Amino acid sequence: MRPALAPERFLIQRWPDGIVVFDRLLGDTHTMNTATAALFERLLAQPQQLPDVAVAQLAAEQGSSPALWADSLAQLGNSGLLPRH
Amino acid sequence: MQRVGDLSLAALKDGLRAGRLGIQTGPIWWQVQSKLPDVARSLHALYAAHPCQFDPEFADYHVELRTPWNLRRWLRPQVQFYIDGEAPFEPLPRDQAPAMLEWGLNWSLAASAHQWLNIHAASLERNGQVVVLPAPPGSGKSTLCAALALRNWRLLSDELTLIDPDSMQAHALARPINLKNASIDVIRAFEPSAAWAPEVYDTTKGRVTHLRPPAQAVQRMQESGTPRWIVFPRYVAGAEPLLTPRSKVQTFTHFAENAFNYSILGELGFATVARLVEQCDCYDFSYSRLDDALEVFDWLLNPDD
Amino acid sequence: MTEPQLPSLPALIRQPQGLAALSLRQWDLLLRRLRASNLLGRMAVQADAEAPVPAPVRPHWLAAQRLALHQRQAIRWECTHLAEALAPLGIPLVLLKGAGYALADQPAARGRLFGDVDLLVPRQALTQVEAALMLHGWSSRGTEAYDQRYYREWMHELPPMVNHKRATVVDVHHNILPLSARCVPDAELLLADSLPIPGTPFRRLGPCDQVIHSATHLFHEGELRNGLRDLLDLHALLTEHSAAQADFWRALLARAERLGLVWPVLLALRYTQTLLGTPVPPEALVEARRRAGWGSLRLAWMDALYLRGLRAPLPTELTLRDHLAAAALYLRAHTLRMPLHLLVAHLGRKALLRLVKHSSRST
Repeated sequence: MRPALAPERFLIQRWPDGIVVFDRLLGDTHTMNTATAALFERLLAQPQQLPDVAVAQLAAEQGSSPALWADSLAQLGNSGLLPRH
Repeated sequence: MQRVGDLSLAALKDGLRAGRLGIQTGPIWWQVQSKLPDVARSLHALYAAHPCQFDPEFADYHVELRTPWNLRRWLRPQVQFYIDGEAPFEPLPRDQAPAMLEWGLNWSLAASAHQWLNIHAASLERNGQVVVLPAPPGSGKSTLCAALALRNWRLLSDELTLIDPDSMQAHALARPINLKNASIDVIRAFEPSAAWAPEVYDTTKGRVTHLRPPAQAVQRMQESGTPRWIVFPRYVAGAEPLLTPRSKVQTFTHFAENAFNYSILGELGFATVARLVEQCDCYDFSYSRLDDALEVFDWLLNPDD
Repeated sequence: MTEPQLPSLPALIRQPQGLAALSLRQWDLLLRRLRASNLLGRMAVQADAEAPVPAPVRPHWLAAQRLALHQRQAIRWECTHLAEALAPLGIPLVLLKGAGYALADQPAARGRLFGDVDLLVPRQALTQVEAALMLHGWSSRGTEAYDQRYYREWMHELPPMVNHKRATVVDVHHNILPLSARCVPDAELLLADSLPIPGTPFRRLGPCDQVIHSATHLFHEGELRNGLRDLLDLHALLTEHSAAQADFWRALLARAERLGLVWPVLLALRYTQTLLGTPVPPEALVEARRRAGWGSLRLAWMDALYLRGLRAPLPTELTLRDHLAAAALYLRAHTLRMPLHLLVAHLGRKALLRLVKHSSRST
C-alpha cells in the first residue's frame, strides 16, 4: 500500500546544509541533512534500485563507509520514503 | 479621513455600544461592538491614530466583547470575545477585556486569513526592508520588538506577520504591542513618554499590558515591505550581543511548525516559506542590553560600515 | 441601522447569479452567514466562475477557496494513511459521507468542509480495526473514561480514534445509527450494496444508501449548525444519482422502506425541493408520504422545527421562536437516539460536567 517514489510527488528546496521536502501525496514535510538528502535524491532518480545498493554506491563515490548511512536509511524508513520492493 | 482620536470618548462609547464602529488596521477593517467602558477607553488610547468609520459598508470581521450569560455574571464577572456570534475561547476575568480584544483579533486573522501566510513572529520595516523576529515565549522578542519600534524601525506587527504568497511582501497591522512582566518595566524605562493600557494581572501569564503603536507606524500602515532578514532573538542575562548565521533548513523547519496556516496552505505554504527563507539572511541573536541590540540591527542595514 | 435585506442563503445558492446584484453591505452580511453555517468554501468554490466579487470580498473568497482545497487534500492524505493501516485486514472499508464523496470525486464534495473520517465496517471486525489503528498511531486515549463507556457499552461503538502525529480523527462505525436508536437499519444490507471506489481499497455506500444515510444523519441531528450544508449534500446526491439512474426515485423509496428509514427521506425530498429547488418528481413526494404514513399535522410540526433553521440564520438573527424550535429539535434528536432513562442519565451527567468545568477556572 505504500505509494511509489516518483519525482513529481515531491517539492524540494535545497540549501548548503540540507534539503526540505514536501510530499504532495501525503501532505508531509520532511527535513534532511546532506547525507540523507543525497540518498533520497539518488533513490528518486533510480526508483528501481534497492536502498542498500544505493547506499553502497554513494559510499563508494564518497570514499566513506556504508555504515555511516544507517541513520539516513532509518530516517527515510520511518518517514515512509523508502521504495517498496 | 477620520481617526479614532478625533472622536470624543463619549462618541466612541456610543458607536461601540451600538456596534456601528469600524476600525482599520492595515488591510483589515474590524466592526467592533462592546458596552464595556474599559474597552472604549482602551481603544481611545491605543488606537487613537487608526482610521475609523461609522457604519462602514463592509467590514472584514465583526467582533464583540461582552460579559457572557452564565452563573458567574455576578460572582466573579468574566468577559467573552465573539466573532460573528461565536466564542472561540474560554471566557477571561472581566478586567482583561482590552487584552482579550487584542488576542481575539490575532486569533481571527490566524484562523481564517489564508490570503496570506501567517507567521507567529514580529516584523518591522526600515528602508523598505523587513526584519522578521520569530521566537517562542520567553525569548524577549516582544521587548526587542517594542524597542525597535520606539526607535527607528517601523512596526508592522508584534505577533502576527502576514506574508503575501504572490508578492512576498509583508503587510502591516500596526496594532498595540503586547508586553508582560519585566518587559513592561524595561520598556517604561527605555521610553518614558510611551502610552500604555492599564496593567492587568493574569494567573498564568502574570502582568500583562499593551503599548500604543508609534503614530508613524500607524500612518504608514498601508505600506508593505520586503522581508530581508530573519532573526531569532534570545534574551540572555548579562550577555554580550552575538549575531550568528543560522541554518536555513532549521529556519524553514521552525516556520513549518510555527506558522499558523502552513498546513492549510499545503504546497503553497511550503513554497512560500521556502521563498521567504531563501530570500532572507537568517540569524540567531543573543543579547542582554537593548542598546546593544539596536546597534546590531543598525549594522544589519549597513553591514559594510 | 437595521441589517440590510438579503436573499436567503438557499435562494442565493439556487441562483448564484444573484450575487452580482449584491451591494457591499449585503456582501458583508452574506459572508458572515456563510461562515456561520460552514458554507463559505462551498460558495467560493462553486460560484466563483459565475460572478466576479467586489475587491474587499476577494481576499475572503480566496482564503475560503484555499481552505476548501486543503480540506479536500487532507481527506485524501488521511485516507491514504488509513489505507496503509487497514487494507491488509481484507474487510470491507466503507467511507461514509464527506470522505466517501471526496474519494469518489462526487459533486457533493466540491468546496465542502470535512471533519472526521467516518468509516463503516462489519460489526465483528471492530476489535481488529481498533487494534490495527492503534498499531499505526491512532488511539482513543484522549477520550474521558465516562465517554469511553458511553461509546462502548451504551452505544456499542468505538470512541473516536485520534492519530497522535496528525491529530486527525477517524470514527469507526458498524451501523449508521446507534444500536439504542428507534429505527436501526440492517448494516449487512448497507455493506452488501456498497460500491468500490476505483484506485483505492475503500468502498462507498450505494447511491440510494448514500441519500438515506445523509438524510438519516441530518434529521437525527440535535442542532442545525450544519443543517444547510447537509441539505446541500442531499441536493448534490439526489441530482447526481437521479441523472445517472432511470428509476432512481422508485428505487430510493423502496430501499428506504426496506431499511425502515422512510421518514428521513420524506423530509429530505420535501426540504431539498422547497429550499433548493431540487427536481424531485411530485409522484415521489406523494409516494414518500404514503410509505412514511405521516399526516399533515406531523409534517407541519416538522416544518416548524426545520424550515427556518435550515435557512441558516446568524446566531444574532435568531428569534424566540427559533430558540424554541431549536430546543425541541435537540430533545427530539436525543430521544431518537436513546431510550428516555438512558437519556436522562446522560444529559444530567453532561450538564454537571459543564457546570464544574466553568466554575473551576481560576481568576
